[in-house]
Amino acid sequence: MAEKKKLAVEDLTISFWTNQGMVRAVRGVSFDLFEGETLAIVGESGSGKSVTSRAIMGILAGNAVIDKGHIYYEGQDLTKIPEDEFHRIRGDKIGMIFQDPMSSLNPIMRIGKQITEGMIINGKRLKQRYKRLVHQAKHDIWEAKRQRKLLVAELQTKKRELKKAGKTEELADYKAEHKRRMEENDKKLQAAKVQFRKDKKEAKQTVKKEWNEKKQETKEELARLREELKKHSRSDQSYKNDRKYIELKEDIEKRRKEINELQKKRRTTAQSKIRIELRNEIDHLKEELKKPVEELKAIRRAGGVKRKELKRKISETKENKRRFKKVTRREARQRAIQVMREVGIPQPEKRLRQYPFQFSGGMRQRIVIAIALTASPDILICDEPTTALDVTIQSQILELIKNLKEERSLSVIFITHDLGVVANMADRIAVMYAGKIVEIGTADEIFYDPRHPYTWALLSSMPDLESTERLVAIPGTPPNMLFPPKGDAFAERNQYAMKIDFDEEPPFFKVSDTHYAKTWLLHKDAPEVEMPEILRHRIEKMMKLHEEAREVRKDASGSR
Amino acid sequence: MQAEAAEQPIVSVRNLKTHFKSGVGKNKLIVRAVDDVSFDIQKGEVFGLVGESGCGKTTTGRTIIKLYEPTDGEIYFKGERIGAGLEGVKREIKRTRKRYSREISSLNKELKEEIGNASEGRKETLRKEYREKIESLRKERAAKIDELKKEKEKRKDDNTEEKKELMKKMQMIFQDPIASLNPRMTVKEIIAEGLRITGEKKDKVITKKVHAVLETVGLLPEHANRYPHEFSGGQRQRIGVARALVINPEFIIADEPISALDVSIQAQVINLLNDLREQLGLTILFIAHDLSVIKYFSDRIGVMYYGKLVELADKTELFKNPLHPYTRSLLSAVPQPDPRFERTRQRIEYRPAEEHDYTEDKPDLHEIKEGHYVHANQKELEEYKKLLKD
Repeated sequence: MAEKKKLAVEDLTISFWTNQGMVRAVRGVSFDLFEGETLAIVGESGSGKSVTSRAIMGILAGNAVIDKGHIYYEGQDLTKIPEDEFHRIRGDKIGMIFQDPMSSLNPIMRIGKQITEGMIINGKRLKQRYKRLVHQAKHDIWEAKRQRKLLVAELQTKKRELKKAGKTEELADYKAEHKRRMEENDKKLQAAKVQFRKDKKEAKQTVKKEWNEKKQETKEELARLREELKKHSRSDQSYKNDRKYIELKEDIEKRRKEINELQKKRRTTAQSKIRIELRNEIDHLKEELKKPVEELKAIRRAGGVKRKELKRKISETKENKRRFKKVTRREARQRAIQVMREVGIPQPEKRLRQYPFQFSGGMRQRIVIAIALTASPDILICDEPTTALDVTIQSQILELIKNLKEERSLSVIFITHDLGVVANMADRIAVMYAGKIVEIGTADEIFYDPRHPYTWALLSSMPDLESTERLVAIPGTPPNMLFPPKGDAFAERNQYAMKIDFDEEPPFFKVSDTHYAKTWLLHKDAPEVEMPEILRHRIEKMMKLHEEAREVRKDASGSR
Repeated sequence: MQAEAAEQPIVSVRNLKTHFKSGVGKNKLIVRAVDDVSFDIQKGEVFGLVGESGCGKTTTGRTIIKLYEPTDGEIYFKGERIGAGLEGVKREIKRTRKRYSREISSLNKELKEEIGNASEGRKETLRKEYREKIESLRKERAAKIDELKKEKEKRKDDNTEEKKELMKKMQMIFQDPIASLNPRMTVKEIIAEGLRITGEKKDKVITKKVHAVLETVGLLPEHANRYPHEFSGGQRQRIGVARALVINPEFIIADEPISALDVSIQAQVINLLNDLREQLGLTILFIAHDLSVIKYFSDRIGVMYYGKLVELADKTELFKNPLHPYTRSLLSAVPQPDPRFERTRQRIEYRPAEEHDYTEDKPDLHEIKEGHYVHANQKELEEYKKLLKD
């Protein structure tokens, strides 16, 4: 495909240790996420959709085990990299929005602090630069250490195996070979360590040098600015010698005298008619006086304005120096306001100082989105972001996510149990059931040409605005994942289930280049099965509507 | 609203207000959760209440079943008043008192003026005349206030009096099936509680009834001895339904019974409620925020916005002729399982401050077409009439 792959999940299998045994939450999930697309993962609760997304974020619960599989992001396998390393990716590259905005915000912390917190913590720029410089060597050390562990483990198993088989000669051979490999690896490790020390030293020097340079630069700049400021000191009254200033002053004084005389005259006259006339004249003169007074003030103030500007420049220079080292609070605040505006929160300056309870549900969810966006991630994972919201707010939030996706060309993984929600959002949809993807395809394919009985059931079990017939409910409940069923997991609740469904798991059958479904119904030997009546009617109706709409559009363009 | 209806409505709500007060003095805050809502629910129909969270639909339901005390207005159930707010009467008493005292004082003033102008002989007759007038006014006032006070007492009585036999006929299904079932009681105990409270003592009868109702809602009699945590979400909601059904109610308030359930389970519960409604002839007040579900399940729909009923109509009529801007905005926000339609969908925003100008003409609920009510003032009513399609 021409599009760029952002994320690739391959055969991901995750289990949880519990008192009752292993819960097989995810059983071999594979999908790709391309740049700028929205992939929706749909399924009931307990189908493993949230667990998959949490694995991508690296925030699985403590009792979770990744049995096998890989998550590739930018050439790295996220299931393998250590926790320290993950900090550079989580939040920064992959952001997440959680379901309940009330519980994902801290109730006793102001919104502003919550939004800027991550930026400030992650914002130690110099330190990060240093870390990036030594990263490669450190990575080599990790790799060598990991390799060593694997080699030791391999030796153990191999030894046991060969001893059991009684092949002592081979064992000796193997041991020698192993020793050689071990030594080689150790050498690598040593080299990496030496390299690391060297890199560390160099990195320290470069960073220090850069920092010193910046310091020096700032110092010079500051000295220059301060010198200039001195010139414009408050005691400086050179403007008083300016010709224009003197002229203006004289002019004003003359006018004032005139007004004073008129006023005196007015006070001494008894005739009301003349008094009124005089007053009008005085008012008129006063009005005229305003302009020159303003000009004079401007001349006087000019020094102050200049001073102010210089002071601002000085503080800016200082701020720049600080910003070179880390994300300052001022910078974080500016960014927070910008992001809040982007997600549609009015009056962000005021809202920053408020607490979560002062926001409505939709606004709270917007803040959660803002927090995820401050780090400008490439991938945004939305874990049921609208389930706790009602219809109008839901459509607002969906629109917001859609717009953000387009503006920032994000890749979005959208998790929900409501198929209706994703029709608007998703480019592709993956339907999950019992820890497996049962059908994956583009939105049009899933909605207009669903193939898996579970997708049929999901689609037909929800009423739309036209439906009047009895709803097709899915009988029973999802299987217990402590004992994952053999064969097709949906077979037990499936009215179209065949015998083979209970015994053998179906592979993915290809429907089109982008559309795959895991059901035996697509096998060439399977009997012809129609999708439920209610669903067929609905799709037919939708197609007809679109057909009509297209014709209307064609007519309109033709007549024009 | 529908005084001439052939059949008496099973529930009728008149000018219902439920306000929540908090704070004292400067911090006093009155939340008008329900503010002047009137509607009737006919026997055998499903009346849907829809609106966003916080618009007072749940409070309406809870006030009808008397979980909250109404602030003002009346609630009739099967023709009998079961709840009434005192606030209106109290205010009326105050107002009457003020009005009469104002009239009396104005009479007194008049008398003084007239006496000043009149001759000595006429003064006595004038005084007598006015005294009589004032006396009659006083009597009138006393009578009126007495009447109002009686009404107040009667309302108080209506509110406090226990009408077990009547209230038995009204039951409620709650939103969250996990939170609304006591985890320490078995299913049988949960379902039987209502029976015991209404006076059933024989264990045999109780067991029989519980088993019967479990079968009605699609569970098995052997489930009776289990605890709620052993059930799945859909089954738990069935238990909630069974608990409501066990004492043969005629009217059920279903407060978002499916919002907390998974999509596949939602259909199970809706189908169940639909079947029960046909079998048992139930009348249901169905509260939800999902328009497609409401459209599917109810006969008439009331749209609420910030404590007010803004539109009320038959469901087909409402979806064909949405008049109030809020209804239109709500309809435009319903997600559809149709990607091509969704891509071109235009959401209408509702901004009450810009849409309405109620500075002069105050709005009220008007019948614009038979059975179609909309909250508007006269000017808007004219505009809405133009929008009407058949």
